[in-house]
Amino acid sequence: MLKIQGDNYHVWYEETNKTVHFEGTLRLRTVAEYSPIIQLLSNVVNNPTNLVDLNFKSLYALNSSGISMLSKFVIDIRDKSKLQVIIKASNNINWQPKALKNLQRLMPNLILKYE
Amino acid sequence: MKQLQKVFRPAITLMNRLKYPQKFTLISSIFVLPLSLVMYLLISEIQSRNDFAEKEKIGNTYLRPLRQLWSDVSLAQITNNDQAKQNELKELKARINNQMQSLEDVDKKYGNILLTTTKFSSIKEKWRQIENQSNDNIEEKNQTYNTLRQEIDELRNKVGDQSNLILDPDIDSYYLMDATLLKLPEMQYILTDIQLITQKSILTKQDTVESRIKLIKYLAKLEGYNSELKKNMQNAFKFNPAGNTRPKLEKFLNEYTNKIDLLIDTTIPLTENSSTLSSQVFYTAAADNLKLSYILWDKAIVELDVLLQNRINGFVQRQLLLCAFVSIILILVLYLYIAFYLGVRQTVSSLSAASKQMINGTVTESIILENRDELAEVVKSFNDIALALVKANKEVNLLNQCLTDENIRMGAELEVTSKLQKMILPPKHELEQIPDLEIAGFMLSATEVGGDYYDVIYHNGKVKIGIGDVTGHGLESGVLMIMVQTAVRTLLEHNETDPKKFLDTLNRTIYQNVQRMNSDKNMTLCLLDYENGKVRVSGQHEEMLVVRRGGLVQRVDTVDLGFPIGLEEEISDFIGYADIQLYPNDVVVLYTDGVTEAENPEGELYGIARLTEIIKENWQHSAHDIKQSIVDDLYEYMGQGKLLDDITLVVLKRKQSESSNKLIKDDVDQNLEPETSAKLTHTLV
Repeated sequence: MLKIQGDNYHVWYEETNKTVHFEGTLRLRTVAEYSPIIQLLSNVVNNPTNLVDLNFKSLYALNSSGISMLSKFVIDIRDKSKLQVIIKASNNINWQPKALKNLQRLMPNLILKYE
Repeated sequence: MKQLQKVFRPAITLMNRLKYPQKFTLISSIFVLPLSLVMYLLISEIQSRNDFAEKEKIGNTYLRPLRQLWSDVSLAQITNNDQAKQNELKELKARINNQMQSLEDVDKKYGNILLTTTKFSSIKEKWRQIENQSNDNIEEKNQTYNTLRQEIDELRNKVGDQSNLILDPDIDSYYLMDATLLKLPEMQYILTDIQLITQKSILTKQDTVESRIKLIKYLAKLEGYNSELKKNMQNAFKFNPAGNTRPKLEKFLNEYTNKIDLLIDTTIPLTENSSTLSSQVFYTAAADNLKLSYILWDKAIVELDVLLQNRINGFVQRQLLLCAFVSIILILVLYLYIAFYLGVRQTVSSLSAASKQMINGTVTESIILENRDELAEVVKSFNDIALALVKANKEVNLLNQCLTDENIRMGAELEVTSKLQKMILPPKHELEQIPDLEIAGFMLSATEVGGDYYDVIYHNGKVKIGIGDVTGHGLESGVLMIMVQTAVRTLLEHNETDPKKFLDTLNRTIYQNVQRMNSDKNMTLCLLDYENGKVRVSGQHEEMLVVRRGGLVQRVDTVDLGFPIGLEEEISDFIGYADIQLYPNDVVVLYTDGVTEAENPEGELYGIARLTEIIKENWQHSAHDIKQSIVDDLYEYMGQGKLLDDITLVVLKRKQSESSNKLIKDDVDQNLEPETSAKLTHTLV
């Protein structure tokens, strides 16, 4: 499953530029409810690939469970030395600077691009 | 099958439009038409045979007086020839007149049926002629008598033909008819002729060969008729299901035929004048035989009538039986039709009653019917549906029960945790004991047990303030929050003052427990140490807002002061602290992201800008009032919108005091910038 459509959000993988797009507002109640998204991300990185882009430029809200989900994901993949993760973010979105900086702390070779 | 459907389509369409009584009426009408035709033909056939027999009876009714007339006319002719018997003749004539009268009555009644009136009128005319004739010419009168006798004979034949007697269909009645209509009258005719011949011989005392030859001829004829009569009557006796002919007639028949045989056996010498006595013998014998023949005729005609009546009765019986049979069948068919209709009605009404029950939700058992027809299949399907519905209903109820149970369980769980969480919040009186600070706290949970945390602990003249946000909600988040609160207090009791060591130890403790719990929770946590106007802040959380005199708001970023608690085992590298000097009336506002990310009905975020604005407007009020202003503004902003996340607010305000007033003068300029251990981002708004 490479596409998840929720009430207020849309997550999908664009194969051509190896980008997972996040759009809308994500406020699922528990980490368990985030498992389809984790599954999607796992599927993407489990394919033999050296590069993955995570585009958060249109994700206007992510609650603490969502940030936790992203952190767990980063902890899981940070040992894959060959994998380069690039995060595209926006300075204007409240949740992003702190949470994304924490991700970078968890995975120092993660590239954070504010656009 | 499709072809069959096509052929029957018009009939099916018709039948589907009709109600059951109409269906029955239609089919019955179509069925009754040929049935009535057949019935009509059958009944009328029987009736025509009945009429045939009735007509035969009419014939017999006519023949009776005719036989009387015949015998008396014959006797009258003979008597007329004998001069010595003129008195007897008168009497006879009177009798004949009477018989003419009664025959006329019968003729009036049946003449048009038997077409006998003309013939009878002619006979009447002949008789009048005889009555008016003088006795002078005996020969002429005899001639007229002969004609009359002949006409009577012809009339009898006519009656026999017209009344169907001659066509009688049964053996016994046919041969009785043969005797009464043909054989006996013929023989009577011959016997009369014999009498006339022999009378002439006696009266003239002349016995001619001619007359003897005539006599012999008559006897020969008589013999023929006699043997035929015997044979035919045997058939009438033999083929007689009613069994009435032989007992009633055999004796008379034997007597008569034996007598005739005797007469026939009497030898007639062909020599002239042999004896006049023999003529007398023949005359007397003929007279006796005539009498016997009349008796036999009278008896036979009665039995013939009995047979005819039997036959008519049989026909009537057959008609009645047929009508009764058909009526019974029709009644039975009607009875079954009505029963069928009522059966259908009963099934349909029980189905509709059951469906009403189903609609009302009171179905408890399936419908039981004795039908084994197509309707029973409908009922069976209905029962299947009903049972399935009942089963589904039960399952739904069970599920509802489970849900209710689960809700009760969850409710209980939430209630317990909520109680724990609220129990552990700093009570108002504790906050009021703090000498240098006004502190107002506010917590509103999105669900019954939130993931937010705040605490204020006054210990050894120092104040420890904590604020945090555990990911998610529910029991697990609540438990984690309580653990953090306990760990903070423990470290405080242990006099741990190094912010780095404090948070590192706290993180390890929580991390280990989270691993043990196999939980995916972690939390942001910011700790403030206040002592004598100095605030040391550590740990990563939302920005800390510091409001200076005049409403200048300083935003203190905490991203570089820590890391989420419980996510990583080793976070000491990320921990830092910042020192901020608080002057009297300075305000610090701590909040969780539930405040800045609260949404209005249009889905727009409350935001930090709006929060700072409301603080700037209200900085001069008490901590409680500032808190209340923020809460009111937040509520107003959210309107009817749903609370998406927990909301926690902590407002501290340094109290105005003698010592603090003094401090303002001393420290205000040189200590505006906070001291930091790490690179601290802060913005002045």
